[in-house]
Amino acid sequence: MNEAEKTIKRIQAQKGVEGVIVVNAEGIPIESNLDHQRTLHYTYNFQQLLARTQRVMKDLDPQNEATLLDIQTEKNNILVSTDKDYFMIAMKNSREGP
Amino acid sequence: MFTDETLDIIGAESTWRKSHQQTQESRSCQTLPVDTAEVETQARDVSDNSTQTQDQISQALSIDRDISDFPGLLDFLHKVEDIVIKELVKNSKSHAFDGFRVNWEDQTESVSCMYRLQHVEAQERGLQVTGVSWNCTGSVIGCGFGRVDDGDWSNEKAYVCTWNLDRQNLNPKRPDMIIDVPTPVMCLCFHPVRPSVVAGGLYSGEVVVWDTSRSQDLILAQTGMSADTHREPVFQVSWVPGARRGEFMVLSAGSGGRVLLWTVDGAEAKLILSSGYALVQQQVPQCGAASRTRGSTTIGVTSVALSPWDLDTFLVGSEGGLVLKCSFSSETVSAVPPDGESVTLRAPVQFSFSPLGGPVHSVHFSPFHRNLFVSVGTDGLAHLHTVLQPRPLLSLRVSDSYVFGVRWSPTRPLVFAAATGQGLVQMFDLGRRSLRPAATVDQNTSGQPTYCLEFNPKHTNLMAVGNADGSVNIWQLSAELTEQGAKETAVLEQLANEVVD
Repeated sequence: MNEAEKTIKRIQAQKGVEGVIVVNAEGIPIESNLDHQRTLHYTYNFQQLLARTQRVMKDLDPQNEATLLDIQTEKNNILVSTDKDYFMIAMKNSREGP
Repeated sequence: MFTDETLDIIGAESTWRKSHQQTQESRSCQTLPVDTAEVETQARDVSDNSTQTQDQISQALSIDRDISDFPGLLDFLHKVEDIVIKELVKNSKSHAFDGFRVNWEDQTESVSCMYRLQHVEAQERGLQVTGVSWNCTGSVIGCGFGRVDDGDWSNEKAYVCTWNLDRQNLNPKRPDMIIDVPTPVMCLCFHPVRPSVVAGGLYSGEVVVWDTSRSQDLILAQTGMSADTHREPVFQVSWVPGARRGEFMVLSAGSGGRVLLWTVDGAEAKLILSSGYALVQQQVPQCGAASRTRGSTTIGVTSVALSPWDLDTFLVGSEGGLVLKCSFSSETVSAVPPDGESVTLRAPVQFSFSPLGGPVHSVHFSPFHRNLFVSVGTDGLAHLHTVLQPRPLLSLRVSDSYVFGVRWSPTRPLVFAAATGQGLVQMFDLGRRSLRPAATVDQNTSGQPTYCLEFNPKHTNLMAVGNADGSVNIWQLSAELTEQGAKETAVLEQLANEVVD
């Protein structure tokens, strides 16, 4: 348990990271440092986006699948990394840098 | 031989009348007495209860369950941790999107003429375009034909034409709708909310409101000739918000020195005068310069500008070169002797700006700053004023001849366009150091004047310009003239705060 928390804390400690959400296979967020409303909002939307992306990848090449989705927006930069059972959303403010 | 004789009267008695009477009967009935009883109850025990919602205290989720509930979580996290951290660091260092601005539309580089709209009959008769107006959806352009150079009382038939620019089969030579008008049209204004309603001011002093969505009898309301109407040509009509929300009144101003507010009575098809203002020389507070017009005491109005910030203020430009600041709520009664009007005319003038050398053809408030306005007239200059002081902040030379119209750009705070008597539209950018125009748009009228121009409220890169040769040109402006740059509002603010000594 501490191990998992430590890992997430390490990610959060990166510069400019605003939020980290870990979601399980059923779409329930199990770890987040944002408030409840936002967590659910982001989880719902990105789950859909991820599912869509996976469908596209599988359609193009059945052996291939997406592992990391990097979205650059006007205000921030969102990384969605996924595996078989879980996926993680990391949100960072795009104007800050080292 | 003949003798008089009287005979007995012979009568026949009726046999049936008696028998009917014998069959008469009468009946009556009555209800039984009604039973009533009274009972009372009262609650003995009372209890109160209430509920209330509480603010959600945002809490972060945290793992307080056993890690064994989530098989594979640790593995997942280990796998992705490195990738995510690497990406995050890379993104922080990346300069890929520095200064990246999304352009969702194509940028147009130059000003181009999209359409040249003409009404052949009007052009054959030599009528000029005196007013253009876009409707509230930005798809229909309407223009009024009349004459500006004729000094005579004219009863020449004129037209109001509209073209719908969003239609596929737009024919620039044939208007979508032609409305016949008995006298020349001097000005036109579409309704700010209803896309088919348009008001026009005529040379005879009448104000007419048309509804182009009707199939017959397009006139929605008109003033007719009564004691209330203008006796002189109406130079400006506008729609102003009325007493109730969503209602609009028509404001008309003419060279008779009257500014009148009408309410539309659709049922009677009449415009009813709701309040009026009369401008006279004696009631104008002088700004220091001696008044130049003597003789006639009424101040003929040639243009009106409504303030988009302050619903009470409006500006009046006069035939004598005066630019006056007026208020709708003024209570002073006008010095004009009453002439049978149904409402008492009031004197609205509060402040007078430094006069121009000739008639003021157009005044326009800046949509981006509450104090700034620009005025043009026959002296060929565009004066930038602030309402706080009489002298202009800036005077730009627009043309060597008269300037007939001026409008601020709806998207760029520092840009305005002026229509000149040489057939050119000069666009000025106050952000530039030079006082020369940023762009000159030639209307191809071979030297004939350009009388009016309007920016499209919805598609802000379109500009309609009406010319003396009877054509209306629709121009698509370049991105440079329509896209707002950074800090323009700040520069405008700075300009407005300069005080002229």
